[in-house]
Amino acid sequence: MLQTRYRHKYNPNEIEKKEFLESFVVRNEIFQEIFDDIKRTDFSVPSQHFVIIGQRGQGKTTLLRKLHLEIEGDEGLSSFLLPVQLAEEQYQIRSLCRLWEVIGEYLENIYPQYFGDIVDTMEQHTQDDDYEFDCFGYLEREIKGQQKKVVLLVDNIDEFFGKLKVKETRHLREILLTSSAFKIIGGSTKMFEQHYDYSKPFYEFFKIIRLMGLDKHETITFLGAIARTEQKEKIATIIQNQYAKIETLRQLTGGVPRTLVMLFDIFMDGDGNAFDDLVKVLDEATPLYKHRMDDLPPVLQEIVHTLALNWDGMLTKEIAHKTKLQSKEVSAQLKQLKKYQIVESISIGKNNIYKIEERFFNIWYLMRYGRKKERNRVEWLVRFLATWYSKDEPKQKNNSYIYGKALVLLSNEEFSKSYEKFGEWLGYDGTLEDMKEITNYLTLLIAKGQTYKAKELLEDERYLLADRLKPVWYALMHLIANEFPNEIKKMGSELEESVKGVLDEIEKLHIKYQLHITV
Amino acid sequence: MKIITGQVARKDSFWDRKEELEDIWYKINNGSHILLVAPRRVGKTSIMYKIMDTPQEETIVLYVDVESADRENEFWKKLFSRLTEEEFLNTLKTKANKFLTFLRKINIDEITTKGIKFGETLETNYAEAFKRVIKNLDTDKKLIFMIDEFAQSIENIIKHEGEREAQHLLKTHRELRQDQILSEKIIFIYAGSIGLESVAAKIESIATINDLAVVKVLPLGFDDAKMFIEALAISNAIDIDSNVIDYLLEKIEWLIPFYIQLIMDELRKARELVTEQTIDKAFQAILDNKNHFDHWRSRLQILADNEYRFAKEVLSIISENTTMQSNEIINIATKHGLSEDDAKEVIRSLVYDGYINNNDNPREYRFNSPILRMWWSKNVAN
Repeated sequence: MLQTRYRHKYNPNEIEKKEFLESFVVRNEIFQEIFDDIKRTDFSVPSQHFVIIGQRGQGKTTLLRKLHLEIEGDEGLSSFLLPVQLAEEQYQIRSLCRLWEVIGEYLENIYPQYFGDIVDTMEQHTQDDDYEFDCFGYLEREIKGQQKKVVLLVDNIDEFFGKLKVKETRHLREILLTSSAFKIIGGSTKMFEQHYDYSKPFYEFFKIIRLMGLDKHETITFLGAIARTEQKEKIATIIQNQYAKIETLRQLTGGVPRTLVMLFDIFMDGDGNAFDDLVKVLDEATPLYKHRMDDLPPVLQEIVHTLALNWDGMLTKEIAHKTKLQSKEVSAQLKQLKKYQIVESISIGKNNIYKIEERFFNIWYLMRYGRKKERNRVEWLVRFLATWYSKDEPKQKNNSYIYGKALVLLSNEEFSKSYEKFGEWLGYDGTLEDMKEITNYLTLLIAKGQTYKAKELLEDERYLLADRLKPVWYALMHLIANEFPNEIKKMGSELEESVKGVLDEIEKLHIKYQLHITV
Repeated sequence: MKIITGQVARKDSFWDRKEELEDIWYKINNGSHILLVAPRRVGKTSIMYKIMDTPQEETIVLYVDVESADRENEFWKKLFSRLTEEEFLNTLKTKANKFLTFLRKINIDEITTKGIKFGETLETNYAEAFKRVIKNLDTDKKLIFMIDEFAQSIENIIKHEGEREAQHLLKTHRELRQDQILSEKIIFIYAGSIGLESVAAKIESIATINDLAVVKVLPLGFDDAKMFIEALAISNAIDIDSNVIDYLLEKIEWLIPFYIQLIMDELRKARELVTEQTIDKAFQAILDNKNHFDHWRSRLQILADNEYRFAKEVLSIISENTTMQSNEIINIATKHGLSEDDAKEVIRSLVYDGYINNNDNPREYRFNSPILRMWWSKNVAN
């Protein structure tokens, strides 16, 4: 089935050091920004601290490990700078003092030559009345005494911060402001900063670095880098011959490195089309996503179900209507779901539009729990993207001349006649599968300024074009946002790049036809 | 010179605030205790650290942040602890050993919060310990004790212990400052991100701070800010022409080093010749830095409910309309059930804390910073 890298998808710390460093080929700019900052830091004064924000699988743990290894490997830095990378034990850290104790334990374990007695020294004072007041001081004195500095690499740092009492958050701010003993680089799974409580007094001391999904160039580089020597030729061939499939899946999965690792294995295993491979990678994700759903109480599951099956964003009252719950109750439950990072919201004045936060999870849900029509919508999007990015020319069919005529009439702005021909063409069997042709017609129609007609066609229930060609629908919504300001906000982020592509195409046509008219 | 956005600017990264520093040292040398006044992020703490990093001869400068103290005795413990730290002891040089011996000799059984030695756990009265230490400090240097987030600590004490303890703390400080012997040995500088005057007024203790000499930390002047940007540009390889700098400065308007550095950091990341368009883009990008702005919103939550709603609405209206007249403000106050006096008090604190000003026209209020106005409009008003 899948390659041995499977187990490493969830723990980059388990990959052997040499292999790890060799396969670190993306996120170089971000790594360099932080590493350069470390190198330029004047450690005699308090330091700039960092939080790296990104969805699960975006590469935070990988980045932290890369920083750890590069600091160790740098002769200048390693002479005084000690990386402390906290992992599993931090989930038990519920207070600031406990954090300092855990760091002390780590230092004693990993650097016994400097800190052989640090735990004993700190433990001597744990029963003191003022231990909470002084606990950081004990640790700091030991570190300073050895003339060392610490780089604290902490995954899920937001979870730890969330456990601190108000007084501790103030104390932490004092420490960040006055102590030069350490620099913090944290990772956080909270994807959107609306989750952050920036009223906490210490966040101003952190530089926020956002990890976005890999773009198309980074994806190609990444797939090439994670291949073992014997796999390199095959993946290069796949990249060359199946670019449309790779790009389609990249956009649908958000370019998340962890998912791309799964896709790599799938690509190497067979040569299915984009939809087949999507189904396989969704299967891989099932244990994780199912677990996430099973942990939720029934009423929250109900709301997630409604949102996920709708795919696009929804207002509270729409969710209430569908679930037959009171709006007030739905609002309260949505707040909970936001806290669990399952749902995100965009404000539209007094109300909000809600969506499933992790878009790939939404697609998984549609395929797993949706009825045929919901699964069709996923398949249509996959086919749209695969067609859009394919360089293949559309096949000639028997009724192509009708379509051709509709297009020519449209170019000449004989609108009514064009609509008639196009409608005729759409009535033939199988034409609804010709996504490229329909898209071409609609983009030209919009470029000609006929936005209302385009909307009418897309919303026509006979053809379901708004569902079949979601990127075209949202490109149109973007252009008429003045009149329909909320529609574009319902769009999921998996459509961003394709919508931009459609808008670029419309703009090209718009310019072309303006020039043509002038001439 | 590094671009500093998330820490105090120290050493080479500190842009000289010549006027403020001269004023502070002048007042110190005249024996005045100082209240450093400015809204958040204007540079108070950086100035305090500058004083600490480059003290005048015959002075020892200590800095302490008291924002986590929520009990009177804890506050004094923080101050006392600074005097027992190695950093301070090293400044005493040959007298350090004598001082240490003296510290050990302080009989804490005699100094308790309750004044009795038996039965309950004794808690050291750190205010007394502090006073005693200062009085007996055997040094020929003047001690400059800088206390940051003093007003925050007072607020914490009001909340957790009570107004009486907070009043007592302020009174004790005044007594220390008025004590002739102590005053010769120590100068206090107080600073904080919230206004001490409004906190003291809340507990009817304005009289306890009216002896403090006020030093205002102001935004940079245009020419000074221009030189600052030029220095940052050179150190950080940012390609920016003089006329484009002018455009940048006019856009920032409220020229505090922090906002200048936020924009410069975006321009540094862009890695291209800076034009007016790249500046506009950088402005949009920094509005996403919620961690640097959200405290302006969350800070208002310490107000009573109707005061909070009133303040939020006023700021939202100003963010949308650029200005707001005082009679409109009073109208909004009525909507939220506030008297004219209460409304004026809230507006006064918004002015003090750096949100808005009425410098051009006493009846018209506007945001100090267009950046904050844009952020407010995007993230709070809408």
